[in-house]
Amino acid sequence: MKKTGWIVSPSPFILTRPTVTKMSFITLASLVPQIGLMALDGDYGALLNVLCAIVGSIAAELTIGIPARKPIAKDLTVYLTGVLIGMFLPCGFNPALAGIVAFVGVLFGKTLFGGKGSFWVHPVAIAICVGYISQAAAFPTTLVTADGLKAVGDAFGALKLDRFSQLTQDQTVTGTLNSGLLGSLGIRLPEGYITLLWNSPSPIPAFRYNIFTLISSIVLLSMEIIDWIIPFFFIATYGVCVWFLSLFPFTAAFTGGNILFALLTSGTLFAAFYVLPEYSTSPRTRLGKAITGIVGGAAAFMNCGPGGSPVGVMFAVLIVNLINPLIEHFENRTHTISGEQA
Amino acid sequence: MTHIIQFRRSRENIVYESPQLNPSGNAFMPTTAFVPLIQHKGTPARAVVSPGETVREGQLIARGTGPDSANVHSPIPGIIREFRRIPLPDGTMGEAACIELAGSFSLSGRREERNAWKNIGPSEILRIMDDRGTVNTFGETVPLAPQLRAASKAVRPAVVLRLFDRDPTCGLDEGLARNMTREVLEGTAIIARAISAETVCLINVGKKWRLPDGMDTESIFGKTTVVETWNSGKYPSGNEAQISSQVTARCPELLNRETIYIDPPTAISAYDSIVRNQPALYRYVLILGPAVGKPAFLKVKIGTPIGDLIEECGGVKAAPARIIVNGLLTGTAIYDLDTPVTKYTKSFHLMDRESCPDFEVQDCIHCGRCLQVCPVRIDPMRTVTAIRKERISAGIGESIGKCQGCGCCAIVCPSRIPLHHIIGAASMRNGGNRK
Repeated sequence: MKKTGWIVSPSPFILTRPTVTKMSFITLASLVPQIGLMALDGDYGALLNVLCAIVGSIAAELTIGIPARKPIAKDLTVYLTGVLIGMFLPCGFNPALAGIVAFVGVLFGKTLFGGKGSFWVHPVAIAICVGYISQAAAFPTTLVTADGLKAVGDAFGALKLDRFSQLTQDQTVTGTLNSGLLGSLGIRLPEGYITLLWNSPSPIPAFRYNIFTLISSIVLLSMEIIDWIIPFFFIATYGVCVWFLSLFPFTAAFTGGNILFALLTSGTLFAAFYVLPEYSTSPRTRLGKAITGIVGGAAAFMNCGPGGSPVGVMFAVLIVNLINPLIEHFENRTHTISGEQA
Repeated sequence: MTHIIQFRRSRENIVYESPQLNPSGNAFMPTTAFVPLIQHKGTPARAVVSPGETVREGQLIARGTGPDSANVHSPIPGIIREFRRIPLPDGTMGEAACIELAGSFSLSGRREERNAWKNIGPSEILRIMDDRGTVNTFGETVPLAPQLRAASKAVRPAVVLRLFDRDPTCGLDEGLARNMTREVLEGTAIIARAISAETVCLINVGKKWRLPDGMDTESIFGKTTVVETWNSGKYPSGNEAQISSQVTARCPELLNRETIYIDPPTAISAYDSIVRNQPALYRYVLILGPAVGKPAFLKVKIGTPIGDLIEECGGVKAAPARIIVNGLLTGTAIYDLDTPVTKYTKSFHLMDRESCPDFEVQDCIHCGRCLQVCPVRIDPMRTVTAIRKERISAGIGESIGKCQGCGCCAIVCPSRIPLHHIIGAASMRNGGNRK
């Protein structure tokens, strides 16, 4: 073949989706503001955890990658997994242990199952669950207590009674919103939610910057980096469960659970947009993804209840991941290889 | 002009830019024409001239060796310099006659013949088409006459003319149907006459096809029933399987009848061979893409190197990345500017690095998008995995057979796995033929 500057590759030459590398890059880039805020907040413990988790993730990939001569450096998902593990660990977590749980999570969750696209349990979920079992004391306790809920009848109210410290700007921003945009719509936002959205006082970085998680989710969804079905059904199911069932054990009320509080305090949003939509651990059809979202939402409610749980959502991810092969089994049977209708 | 192509399944859209062009005349004569001895699927023709020999314009230079082989004629007058292996626009390599331009033209620039084709019998039409090396470019390029001969033996055969492109980014078929309507319709009528077809179906995209003023199908097709239909224009619409299902839905009586599917270039070739009494010496070709200086719709002599056409179109205006033959969705990337125009060629796209960047094939991430867009509802990734592991079960075999090669799966694949090519290669190994 002649040497020319022309690129020869098989068709098609118009592609509708970004490449895997670009997808990983955009996902990583969407986390940069949150990491920047961690640095601005002076949370060096959490940053060290992120760094150690990245090292652990790389080490796990290299363990399998070197004998198999797989190029690791170019695979951004390795770094992304490390960042996500680090962000789900509390700032007081032992950094060396952060590296070890990341190593264990990636090795047993991902690499041993064939790596990208082949694993079926999310390495982040494994790492965090192993981390929780290894050093539970480093994780915060559940934010709301049963006594508080019984006393106030609202999860956020119970938290406020306890040890919740609002941002100094919370009152001003809430007042401005209530007198402006929300006031014209007849909505009144109680004080404290701006703190939960902007910089929730949690030692776990993934739980903190909910507003940035939401902004990033818009970017990821609009660029079709992640599929909307799983996060939508997950959040909807969890929200419905919280609204109808979260207060029942404490006040015997069937409605009135605080959905916003539940979503902003357990890392539910972060998990919904960064962990659950992982393609490798999800079914492939729209119906399968919807079932995953619904099961995930229900599992999140079982683990996190009215909100404020430190690791409940990660155990929920683990439960969903364990159920997903069953969903895929039925998916493959209904959407048969011979081309029957899905 | 921005075009949006919607997928047949899923709400995925393909967006691309392409100008609407009308034929702008003849391309320059090549000083050296590279005329391949094979310009279709099948067996190469056998050369009947030798290096050093002088040939006339339209002279037979290679004779077909069987039903899967078409005659090849010299597109220009000149001297045969050599026979050598060159890259062909379908991505393969093949033997070609290198003809250096010399002497006077015996067909170009002369008054065209206009034979009364209605007075020519079907068997004579078939013989002339065989002699002129006419090919059918509807799907894979194949010699037309043997196809017609087989169809003529069937009971009440039909002809279907597709008035749009199989690959919508190509645009040639639509352009010819719009600009060369009379030749296209008469060519179709000739083919219908060759097989004594009772029905001719004209299938358009999006809406009912409007004949130009002063033209009616009755004067061209006579007593043959002409059915006009159209489809939604969602991709894929132009392959044989899709068109067959659309046509039989409109005309249930055509179900299980022998049908010949043709496109406008095939109809024009048939018209040239019978009415103009000319062999296949030229092709209409679109030269498009963001890197080409001035896009054009040219009548190009077969054997003209792509480099000459690019030069004629003002060269490249951006750093070029790929030359793509016959459309961006299903076409072939070529690397050599000496690659000639053949009977297979419909369009050249010159792509720049921005619109057509280089990429690496990566591991599947299990996103399921291929599964969601496949128009025939197979599971492309599972099929490819089974092919790679050489575990071809009956179900996998059925999936391989069902694949239409439209490339929807590969278009949406973020890992850039050429799924339909892998399935296509497995189909070829199994002796299959894509519809």
